[in-house]
Amino acid sequence: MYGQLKLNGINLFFSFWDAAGDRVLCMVLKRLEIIGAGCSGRRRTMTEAKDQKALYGSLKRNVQWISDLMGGSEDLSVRQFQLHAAGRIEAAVLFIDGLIETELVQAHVILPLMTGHSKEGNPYPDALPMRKLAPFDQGSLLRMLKETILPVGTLSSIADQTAFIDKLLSGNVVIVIDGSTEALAAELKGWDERTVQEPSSEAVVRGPREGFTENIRTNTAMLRRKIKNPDLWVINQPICVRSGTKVSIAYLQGTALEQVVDEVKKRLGHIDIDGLLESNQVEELIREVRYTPFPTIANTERPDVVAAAVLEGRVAIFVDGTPFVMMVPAVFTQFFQSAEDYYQPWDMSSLIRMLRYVCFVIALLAPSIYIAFTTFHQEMLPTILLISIASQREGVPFPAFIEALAMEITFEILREAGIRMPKTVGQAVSIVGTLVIGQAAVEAGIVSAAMVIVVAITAISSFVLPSFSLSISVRMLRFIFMALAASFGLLGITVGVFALMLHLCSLKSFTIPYMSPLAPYQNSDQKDTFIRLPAWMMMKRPRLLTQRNLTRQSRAVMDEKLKRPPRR
Amino acid sequence: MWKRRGLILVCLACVLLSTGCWNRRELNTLGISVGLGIDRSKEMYNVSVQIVNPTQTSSKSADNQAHVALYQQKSKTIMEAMRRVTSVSPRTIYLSHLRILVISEEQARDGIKEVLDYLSRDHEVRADFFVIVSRGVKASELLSVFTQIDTIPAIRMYNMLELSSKFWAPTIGIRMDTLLKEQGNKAGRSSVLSGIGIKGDKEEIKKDVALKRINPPGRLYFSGIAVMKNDKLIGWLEENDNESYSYLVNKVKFSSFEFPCEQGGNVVLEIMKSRAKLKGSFPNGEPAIQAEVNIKADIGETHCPENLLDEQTIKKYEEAAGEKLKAQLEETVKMVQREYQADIFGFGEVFYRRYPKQWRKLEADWEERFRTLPVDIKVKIKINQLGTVNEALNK
Repeated sequence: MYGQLKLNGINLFFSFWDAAGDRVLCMVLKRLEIIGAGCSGRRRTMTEAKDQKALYGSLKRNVQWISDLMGGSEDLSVRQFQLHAAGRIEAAVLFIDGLIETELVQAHVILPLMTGHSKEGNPYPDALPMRKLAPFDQGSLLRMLKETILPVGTLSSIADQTAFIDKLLSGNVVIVIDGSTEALAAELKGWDERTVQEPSSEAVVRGPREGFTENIRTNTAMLRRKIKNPDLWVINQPICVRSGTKVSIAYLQGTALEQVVDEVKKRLGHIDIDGLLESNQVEELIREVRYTPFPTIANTERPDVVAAAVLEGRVAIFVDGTPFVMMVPAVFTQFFQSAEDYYQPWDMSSLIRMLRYVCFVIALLAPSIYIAFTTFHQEMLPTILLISIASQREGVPFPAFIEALAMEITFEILREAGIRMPKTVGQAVSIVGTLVIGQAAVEAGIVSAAMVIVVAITAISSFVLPSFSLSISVRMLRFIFMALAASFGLLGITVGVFALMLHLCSLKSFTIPYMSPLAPYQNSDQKDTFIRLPAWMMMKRPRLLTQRNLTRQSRAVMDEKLKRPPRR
Repeated sequence: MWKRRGLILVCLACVLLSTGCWNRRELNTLGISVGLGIDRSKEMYNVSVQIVNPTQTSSKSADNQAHVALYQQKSKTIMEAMRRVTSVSPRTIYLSHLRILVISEEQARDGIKEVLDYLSRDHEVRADFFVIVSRGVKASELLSVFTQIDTIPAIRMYNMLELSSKFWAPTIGIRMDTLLKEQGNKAGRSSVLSGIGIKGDKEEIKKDVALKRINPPGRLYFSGIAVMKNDKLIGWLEENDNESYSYLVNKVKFSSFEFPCEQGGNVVLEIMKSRAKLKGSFPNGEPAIQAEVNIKADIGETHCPENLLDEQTIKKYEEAAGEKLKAQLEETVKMVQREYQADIFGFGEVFYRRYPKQWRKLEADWEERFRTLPVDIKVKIKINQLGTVNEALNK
C-alpha cells in the first residue's frame, strides 16, 4: 500500500505492507498531527481486514462476501427479488434488522423496486441480463432508480466495500443489483430508543424538563433548537474508533476561542480505541492532567446547560450512545453553579451558591477538624462544649481518627450499596444503615454521638454540591485530610489546604487556568462566581473563555434599569 | 522516574508519619481541670484540682455520682504538687480549661508570686480564668461544695463572677491576665482580687443532699475585694467601697444606684453607661489627681411622689445622685489612702503615662505620696429615660 499527502506544501510519500494496514497510517498521521484526514478509513473491522476494494460485479458474490465478513450474523437481512423496472435483473436489499424501519423499507424500497416503473417506460424491454450491459448502461439504470423509482430522502451511491460496510452498519438499506459494481444506500434509520425524558441526575424545580437521550442526532437537535443561529457549528469529529461511535463537537463560531476548538479537535484526533461507550472514556482520554482528583471537564445531561455553556464560548462534545455531554474548558467555580441558579431570583441564587461553597468546605474538612480539635487542640473548644464532647466520648474504645474513619467508611459502604440496589431493596439498606450508623453504634458505645453528627453533616453537605464529579473528589480528599489531621492536627490541615490550593492553581482545562476567574483574578467575572447578579447586569461573557466576542447584551437594558441617559 | 517518585513517597511517609502524633491526646485520657485551689499547710503548698467527671455530665450515663472530683497533693512547689496529683488522679491533668484559681486567704496574705509563676509559665494554661481569694474557708473547701443549676462548682463560680460583674457594680471579677499585668506594673499599681466565701452551713453543702433542697443549706457568695500590696493581701473592701472602686477603674458596665429623695423614700437609677477619666496635674508643684465620672442612667424604680415629667425634678435627681456618689467615691479613696496605702486605682499610672519625667522623682516614695495625694472627684449623671411608665405609682 502506498499513498501521498500534502503537508504545508511538502509532498510526503509513504508506502508500507498492507498487513500493517492503516493502523500504521494512523500512527504516522497522528505524529504529523493531521489526523482529521488520516483516519478517514476508520470503518475498519476489528480484525483489521482490508476492504478498500471495489464491489464485485455479481450479486451473489457481493452477498456472499458481506455475509462471510459478518460471520453469517443473524441480524443481517438479505431480500432478493427481481427488478420490475428492468426485466429479470436480480437485485437484493440488505439491511441490519433492528436498525431500520421495516415498514418503510417494504413500502418505499422493496415495493417500488418490484412493481414500479419509469414514466419513460422500460429502457430494457428485452430484459437483457445485466452483466452484458456496458458500464454506461449500468450508470443509467442506477440513475433511473434514483430519480424516478425510489421515494427516499437520503440516497447515495456506494462504490467500494468500506462504504458498503459503513452504510450497512449505520442503519442504511443497501440495494445491490446483479452485474453492477455500484450499490445504492437508502437511509431509513429507525430503532427503539429512549424518548426525551426529564434528566434524573439534575432535576430542577423550575426550568426545562427535557434531558439528552442516547442518540447523538437527537441531542444535537436539542441544542440546535435552543440556539437557532448559523454561528452554532455542529461538527462531526472523525476519530479512530473501531466501534464506529460518532463524536461531534459544537460551538459558537466567532465566540468560542479558536485555540480551545483546535485543542479539542487535536486531542480527539489522538484517540485510537476499539470502542467508546460513555463520554467519561473520552474525558479520561483527552484531559490534560492525568493525575488530579478534580474534574477538568464538565458534563451534563441537560440541553439548557450545554446551550448556556456554548453561549459562554465553551465547546460541547457529544458522544453517541450516552446522554452525558461534555463541556470544555471547565473551571473550578463552574461546578458550584447549577442550572436552577439562573431560573430562580438572583438574590436567592446568590445565597444558595454561597451555601454550596460552605458545604464544600464542610464536606471536605468537617471530620478532619473534629479529629484535630479533639485530639490536639482541646483548648480551642469552649469549655462547656469540650465537657459535652468528652462525656460522649467516655467509654469509646477507639481514638477519634479510627472512630471517624470507621464511620466514614460505613457511610461510603451504605451509599455504594444503596446506589445499585433496586428501589425496594434500597429501602431496607437505608433502614439498616440508619440503625447501624445512627443508633446502635452510639448506644453500644462504639462511636460517640458527636461523631455521628459530624459524619451526617459531612454526608449531607457533599450532596449539596450540584456536580457529582466534584463531590467524588471531595469524598476522596476527605480521607487524606483526616489522616493529616490525625497526625499533625490543625497544622496538617493547614498544610494540606495550601497544597490543595497550589494543586488547583496549577491545573488547566484546555488552555484555560482552572481557578479562573479567582486566580488569575477577573473582576468582571465575579458577577457569576460566588454570587449571581441579576440578568440585566450580566453584560459580558466570561473574559478568559472568549477573549474577543465579549458582549452578551446591549447596554440599553442596563441603562433602562439604572435610568441612565442612552449612549450615543 | 517512577521508581524515584515511589522512593521519595515512601521516605516522606516514613519521616512524616513517624514524627506525628507526639502530643496527641484522646479526650478520654484527659482530666479536664476546671478549678485549682491553693492552700497553705505549714511550709507546703496544698494543691487541690477539681476535675470534671465526664460520665456524669451527659444525661445518659449519669448515675448520681458527683459531677466533679477533687484531687489533692502537697509539696514545696506548685509544679511538684501538680505532678504529684497524677499519682492520685486517674487521668492527666489538663489545665487549658481552667476556669477558676482559688487562693486561700492565708496563702494570699503570705504572697501569691510563687503561685503565679508556675501558672504563667506553663504553656498549657490560658490566662482567661478568674483568680479569687477564698474568704473564711480553705480553697479546697470552696472547691468541694455542691452547687445547683451549674453543677460544676468552678464553672458556677466563673459564671457568677462574669454575670454579676456585668450587671452589679460591686462585684468584680479579676482574670489572670489582668492580675499578671498589674503585678508586673511599673507604676506602683496594686492589684485587687475578688473574694468568695460560703454563706450558711459549710459542712452541709459538701453533702450531695444539699442538691435536693430548694433552698440549700449554704451557698457560695461574692464577698468583697481583697486589696493586695505587692503580692500580699493586706485587707478587704466591702460593698460600697467595691462599688466606688468599680466606678473609678471603669469596670462598670451596667448597675443600679439608689439615693434618697426630699420627700422621703428612694429613687433607683439604672446605670446604662459609666466612664471615668483620671487626670494628673501639679498644682503648687505637688501631684494631684482629678477624677471625672460621667454616667448615663435611666430611672429604674422610684418611691417618691414627684412628677418625673418635670425637667426640674430630673435635674434635681441628677444632682442629688451625683452628690451621693461623689461623697461615696471620696470616702473610699480616703479610706484606701489612709488604711492600705495601696494604689489600687492606678493613680501612679496617670503620672507615669502623662508625666514620665516627673514620675521618676515621684516613683521612689510613691507609697508615701499616695497616702496624701489630693484627689478631686467630679460626678456627672445624666438621666435619659424614665422607663415604661412616667409617674410614680404611689403618687
